[in-house]
Amino acid sequence: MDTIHFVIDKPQRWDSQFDPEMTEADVKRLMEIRPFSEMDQSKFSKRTPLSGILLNDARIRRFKNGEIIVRAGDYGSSAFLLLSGHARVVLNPGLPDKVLGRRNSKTKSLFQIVAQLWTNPRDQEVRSVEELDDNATLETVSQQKGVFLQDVPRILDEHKTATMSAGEFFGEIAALSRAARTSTIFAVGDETELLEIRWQGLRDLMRFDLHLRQHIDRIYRERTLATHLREIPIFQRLNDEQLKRVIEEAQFGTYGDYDWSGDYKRLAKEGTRSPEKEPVIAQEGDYPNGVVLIRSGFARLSRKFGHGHRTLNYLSAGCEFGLREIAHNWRQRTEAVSFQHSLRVIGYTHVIIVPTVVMEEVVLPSVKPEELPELFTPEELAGTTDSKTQQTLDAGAKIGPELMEFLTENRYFNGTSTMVLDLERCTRCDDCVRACAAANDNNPRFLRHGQINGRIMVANSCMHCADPVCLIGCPTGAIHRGQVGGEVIVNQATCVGCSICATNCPYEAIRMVEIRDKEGAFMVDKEMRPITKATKCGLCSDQIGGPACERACPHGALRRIDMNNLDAFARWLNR
Amino acid sequence: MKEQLPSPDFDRSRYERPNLNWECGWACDGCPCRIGPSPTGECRATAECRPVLVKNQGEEKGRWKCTRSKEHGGPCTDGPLPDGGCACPIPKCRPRRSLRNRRGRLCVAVAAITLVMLLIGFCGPWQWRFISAGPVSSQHHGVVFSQLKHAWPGSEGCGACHTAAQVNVSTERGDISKWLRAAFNSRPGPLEPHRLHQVTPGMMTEIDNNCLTCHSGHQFHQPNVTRDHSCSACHREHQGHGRMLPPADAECHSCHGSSSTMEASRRKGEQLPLSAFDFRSTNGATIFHTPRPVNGYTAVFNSFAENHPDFQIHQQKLKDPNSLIFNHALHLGESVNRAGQRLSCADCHAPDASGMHFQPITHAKHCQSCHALQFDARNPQMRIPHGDPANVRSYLRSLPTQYADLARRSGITAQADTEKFVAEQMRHLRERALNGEDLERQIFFAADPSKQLAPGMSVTSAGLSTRAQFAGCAYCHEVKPGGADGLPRVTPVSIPDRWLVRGEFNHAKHVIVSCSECHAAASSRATADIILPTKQSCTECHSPKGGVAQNCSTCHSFHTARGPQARQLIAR
Amino acid sequence: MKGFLRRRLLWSSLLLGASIAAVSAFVLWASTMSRAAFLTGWLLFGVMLLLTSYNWFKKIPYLPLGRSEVWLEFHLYAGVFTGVLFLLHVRGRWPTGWFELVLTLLYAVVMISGVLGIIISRGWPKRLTARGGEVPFERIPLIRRQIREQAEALALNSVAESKSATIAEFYTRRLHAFFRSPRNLLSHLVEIRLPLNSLLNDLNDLNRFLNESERKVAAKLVELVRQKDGLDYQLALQLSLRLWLFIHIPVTYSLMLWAIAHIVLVYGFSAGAR
Repeated sequence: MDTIHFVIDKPQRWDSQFDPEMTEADVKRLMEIRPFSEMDQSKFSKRTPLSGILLNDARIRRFKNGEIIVRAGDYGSSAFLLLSGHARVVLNPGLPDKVLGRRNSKTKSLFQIVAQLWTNPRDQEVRSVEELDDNATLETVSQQKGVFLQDVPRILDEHKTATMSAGEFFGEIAALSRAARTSTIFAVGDETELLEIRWQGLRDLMRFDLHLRQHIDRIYRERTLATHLREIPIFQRLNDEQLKRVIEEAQFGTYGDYDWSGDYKRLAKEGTRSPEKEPVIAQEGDYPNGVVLIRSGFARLSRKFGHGHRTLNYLSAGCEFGLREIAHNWRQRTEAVSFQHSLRVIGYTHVIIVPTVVMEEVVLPSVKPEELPELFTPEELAGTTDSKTQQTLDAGAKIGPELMEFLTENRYFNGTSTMVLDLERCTRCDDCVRACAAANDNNPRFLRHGQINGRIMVANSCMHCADPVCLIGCPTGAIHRGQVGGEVIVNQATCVGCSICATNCPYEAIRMVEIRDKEGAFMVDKEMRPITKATKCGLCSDQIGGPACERACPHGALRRIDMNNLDAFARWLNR
Repeated sequence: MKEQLPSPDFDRSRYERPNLNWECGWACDGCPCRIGPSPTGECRATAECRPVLVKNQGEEKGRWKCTRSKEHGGPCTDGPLPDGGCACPIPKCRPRRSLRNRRGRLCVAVAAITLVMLLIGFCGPWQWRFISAGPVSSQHHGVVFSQLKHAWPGSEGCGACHTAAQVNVSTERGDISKWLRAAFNSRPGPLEPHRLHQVTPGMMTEIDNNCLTCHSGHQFHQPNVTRDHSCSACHREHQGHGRMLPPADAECHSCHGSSSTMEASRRKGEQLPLSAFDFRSTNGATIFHTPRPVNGYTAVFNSFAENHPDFQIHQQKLKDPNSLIFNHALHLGESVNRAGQRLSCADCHAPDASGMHFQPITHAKHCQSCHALQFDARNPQMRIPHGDPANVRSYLRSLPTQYADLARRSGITAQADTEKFVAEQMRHLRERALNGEDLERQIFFAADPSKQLAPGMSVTSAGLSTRAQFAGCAYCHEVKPGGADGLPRVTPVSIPDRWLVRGEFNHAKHVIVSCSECHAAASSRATADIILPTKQSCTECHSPKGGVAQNCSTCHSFHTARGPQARQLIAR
Repeated sequence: MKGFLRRRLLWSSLLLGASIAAVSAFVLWASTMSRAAFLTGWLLFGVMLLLTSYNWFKKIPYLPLGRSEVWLEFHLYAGVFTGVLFLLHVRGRWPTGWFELVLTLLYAVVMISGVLGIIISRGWPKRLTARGGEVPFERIPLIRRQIREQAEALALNSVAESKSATIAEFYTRRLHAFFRSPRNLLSHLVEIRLPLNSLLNDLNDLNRFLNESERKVAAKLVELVRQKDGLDYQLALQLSLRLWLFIHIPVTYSLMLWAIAHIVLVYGFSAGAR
């Protein structure tokens, strides 16, 4: 018997049920309820039948009165179907954090952290059997403690809520769009029963059932749009009727390819062409026909410069485009201006366009005059001076146009904690790699190498993207957003080593490793194939004090930078 | 930046692991195996895959299948060996330590070497020279010294001063455990750095007790000293070959610059009888007695040039009580000259053998050449003997004989001529004085130069200046009647040999300075004037501005029994 | 570099303040405090212990004990401060005994290696970045192998293709040794391009003996030579950026051990003397 191979069973997609307590009887019952009863079972694939999806990817949960089902801001990956009873959705503004009783993050205790000094394995990629068998991470329903709202009547009085009853879906937006939950939802009455479907199941259901797909599409538009618009300051003073008008007349646009697992890398590579070849959402010089609100994805904001285009910034979810022009035109009818910049899609963008007519008739009159964006001055229009608003917008000027192009071409703006190295300060000492290894069981989780632009290198470390592509396609949900701060982490216990996330990631941040046992022998399945797991930077979410790499650099050459706020980046560059 | 070389392409799907202690031995060749060495440095390479036996239905033996994964090349072309072994073994390597690991081992090795070197140094044959803080002064060096009280090995007598270095037998080596014990027994010890501030400067220590075994009697400074000062504080050893350096000013200032210490000394001095302070032996010299100031010598100061008190002679405005009447200004002035030249200081004040001070002033050596005590203007050879009044009386009463003697020496040989001569002189004398008593009285008590007994004779031949006048003994001395036998009482003259005894002054070192620069003799008319310089005049040179040494030890010594009058300090 | 300037000013003024305080305290009280040497000695030892602990701090990066950057800043300025303390401790005099001579030499080695170390740590990253060809240190042997295999293949194939062994013979004579192992490391440290230039010149001179297709091969070889040279440059500088610590750290341990022996000796043999 050689010491190199250690045989165990290879993990499968449905090895660990979402809820081990789901029984066939439950599934049978569900199949008789709408919408499952109306689904055409023949459309489902052999490997993922409807009953299988319900058995493995769904669970029944019971809530008491006031118990919180989902919290606004949580990163969750399940959708909910109300089976019986009622639930209330807290509309914006949501409940304060204190009321929601947020759970503690799962960091290691101080003793455990200090104990890493002697408990860290000395060999590479060692996994203990307890780690792999860790079903404790999936809490069973009976054991889970619920968190309750303290004073339900008061909340019902003070906050606007909407009621949901049996047969309604919710949470599908957050599950499918990889975004945070938009609202807090709690149960009313003690007999509330929900079916929680994790998003792998939901995705498959949508794929195979047209009705559900359309239905969810419609809810998505109705619900999300209202809350999303309410979040934007300019729409906050609209009453319900006005808001309804806006919703009705708003248009949707999806540019690029939503379903891009596996294709993203190709798209990203193709993106290294000049901006002119990217699809245009709005063109500089055109008549401003509506305010463009970016819902998800990224768009490039550029201006004509010489014979080309200069990128000023990239807009992400929550940004608006064209508001200033339209507000200017509404006030200065005689000196109307056109779009001052162009908006182009980078990869994939989902936008909502509110037409100018609606803006002028309904929205702008509701806004206080001093809260409107400032008018364009003639010098600005001539291009001789830049106003303050312009300067704040122009991130490209702060960090240098070359660096701006570099970031945009390589899609680095996606990152909320991109690892940036200042090569003129870095002595290549590898203290950062060693610190990362020390914090991750003696395994470094990034490679200190990557694309270089001048003196800036972006290392191959997970950037914890605002729009994480790696989450798409995971068959078991091992890769998910952590509860705190939105970092993306891989649950080693449930990862089956399919390497879809590693292939998806365009930044080569995820690496597949062959795991070993504590004697150093490779763990293999019965056919002697090595068991691999996906590994990546987890932003040291289970340690205290933040990412170890940043702290460990003796020369201040390494920083985890949020690319959505380039001011901090510019300040660091010019320190 | 565009001329940068592009980064080489390499497989980025593997991590780099600089945190591991061992790396595959093939890494330096560029092809490390994927298995990697064990954490203890053994090569674990075996083969590329582990073949698996596939038995289909109906088969007896089955086939061995290569299980090499896709990432590592997929199944090999040849397949496994018939016995189930893999046909592609991975060549074993000799794993190498990573740079970091090697650095750690180097640290351990260097620390070990250091410890070994320390042990060799401490326990080896040259242990004393190894740990010595520097060359020891010539007095404390050499075989003779090291064999003085104990038989130390070799020529290093470390144990004479350092208790930690004491060994019992001549062949016994110095013991590290003894040193460690001495270190931890010292107060404050190495684990008590916070107690360092409690140490009083100049405190007596164990080493000082060891000094006392040879150097007894060091303690004495002044009777009103409130505590002993440590020997080793002032006399620093290990500063180089040769003599030990004089003590630093800071040590003196540790008491004389501290108002609390000086105050305590002052109070103690008030309680002591004055005789306690009279401890200096004179060795026969005449010492000018400066009364001890009321507060003793307890002024607080810290610099010679700035606030060192002036000499008590000047502070107390003392006067020379010498009875001899002497006018420096006159003697150095124009009216006095010898051989056509005015007198200079050196004409009377001749340096003694050492050159430090001057020979005592005597009439015979210094005054007589001008003040020859001639009372007879006609016979200048007739000179009254200087000294005892009884001798003077004898001389005067035997004047005829003296004159006869003079006549004979002048060439008058015949008896009749001699008598004639004598009678002649005596007659002249009687013109001046009524009788012998009168003459005697005149000679003793006359002090008025205008009524001189022997008017000054001017001499024409070259070489002789105008003789000094002799009015009478009282011209220079204090003559009072009422002595024994009717003789006058001449107050004894006491010319002090030494004025400033608390410090040392060496005139030989000051030859470059002329006498009048320090001693204002040319303006001193009265004997009572003490024409010693003030401290201020010293500081003209002995100050930072003047550039000459101005340390305490330049003039003073802690051990008061020093100098020509000193007792032997080393008790052998 | 505003942030750096402010930071340097802050630390420099701190250092200046501490030095002035130490020197004034020494001048004012050293005469009265007979233990001045003891106090400066303990302070020196304490600061050196803090400096040594920087390496131990790096071994526990998961504990939030502050940023390594700040620790390094402290290390640099406190290191200079130990120089001041050392001069105060020995009163500006060169030691006369063997033991103290070794101690002084050890201290000097640590200090000088430290100063040189920070100079190259600040200066050489710029050189590495400007030259380009960035590669992680452990990958260098692999890339060297890749380049060598490519060059060998080129040389070998040229024999078959052009029926002449000129390139192959030149390869054996000049290039084989060049591609096989790290070369010209010392020249790279001092930015002497002479070895590279001479090799390239020789390759160029070879051109007159080559035909059209061979010239293409030679051009590719030139490219590979440049790559290999860039790799050697990376190796030279990255290796020295690691090797200077092989002097600084082990000698520090030696110094600390010697200093402890010094403390024992001083307490044992002074028993109160200065």
